[in-house]
Amino acid sequence: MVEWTTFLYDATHLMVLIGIVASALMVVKFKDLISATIALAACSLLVSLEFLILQAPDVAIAEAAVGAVLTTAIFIFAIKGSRRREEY
Amino acid sequence: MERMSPVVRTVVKIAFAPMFAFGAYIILHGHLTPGGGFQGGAIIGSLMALYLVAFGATAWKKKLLSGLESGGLLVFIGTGILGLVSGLMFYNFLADSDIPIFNEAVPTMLGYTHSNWAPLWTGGTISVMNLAVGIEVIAGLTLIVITMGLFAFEGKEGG
Amino acid sequence: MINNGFKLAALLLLAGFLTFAVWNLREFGEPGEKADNDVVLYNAEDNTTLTLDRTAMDDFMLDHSQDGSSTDEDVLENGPSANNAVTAVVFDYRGFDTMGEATVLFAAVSGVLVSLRIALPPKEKKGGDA
Repeated sequence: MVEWTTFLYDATHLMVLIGIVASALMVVKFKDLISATIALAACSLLVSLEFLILQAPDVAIAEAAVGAVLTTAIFIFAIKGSRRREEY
Repeated sequence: MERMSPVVRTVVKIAFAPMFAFGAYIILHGHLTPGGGFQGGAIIGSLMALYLVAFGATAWKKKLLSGLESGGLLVFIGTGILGLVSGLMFYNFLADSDIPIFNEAVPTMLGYTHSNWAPLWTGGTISVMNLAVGIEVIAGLTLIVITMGLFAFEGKEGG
Repeated sequence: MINNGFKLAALLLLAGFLTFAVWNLREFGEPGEKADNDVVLYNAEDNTTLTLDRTAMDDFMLDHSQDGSSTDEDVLENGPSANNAVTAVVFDYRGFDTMGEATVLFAAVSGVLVSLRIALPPKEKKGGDA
């Protein structure tokens, strides 16, 4: 029973880590900046879940509030002030 | 800044009270449960960002928010300096004292694993600093979001 | 092509460092398990050493964070009377660091307000343009 719980814990941990890397790659790859901002919010949410798994609930609350909501709002305001597509 | 659709406005209206209560809970219980001034302030600040995005930012009082931010920082530093009365900076002179501000004693339960109970009226200067930092973070983050939103929309109209 | 090689080398170096750090993590909830977890303090006056577990400071924080302050006479022996040990460290033992943090937030807000203050009077700007 204990080993099954440990396996579930490790599997959740690994899935969260893979999700962090995948959403970070999406942030770099998207050319639409609004989509990249949403991917960044998803990355922040998964990072806060990772903090919760690593037993740091203080940092998890701060990361969820600042990373997932405030950063997204500020980035969307900045994109409204400039262009939406990335060009080079 | 223009308003968004009625769907967004209704959702923000419904979510306003529970999110505000959760942030206030995180700030007030900073010395008992995980969280504290910065975390609860960030939650209420993100609530304010949601409200501003949904309803528009023009009618908000910047002077009041600036005053709240400076006042929070001043209360924090003043509480730290008042600890010099007992000989150390940031000394917790309010805990277990006769001054009736968050001064109850914590029922120590070392050795018990089931509970870590304490009343809310404990903590001394920690609770005061939590409140000060919470107010400062709420005012600061709201000011940042208001300023950037106004700049983005007005700058687009002007240029 | 050389640039790509540099990027690959930097990536591999970072990955190696992170993997090394993961190998050196200790188990959660078992702080004193590793053998090199002791700190040896040397007293130069009477030429003695004191061996402490590295978790001794954690135990001190946990023991003293619930104590009250003003009842005892020795200032250094008393804790901040808070149940949450993390908050006790952040706001009492290391209150000066938290003051710096709050000041950094204040400076950031002041910087945003100063650098974006052009948007404050939009009507004057429009009138000036017309």
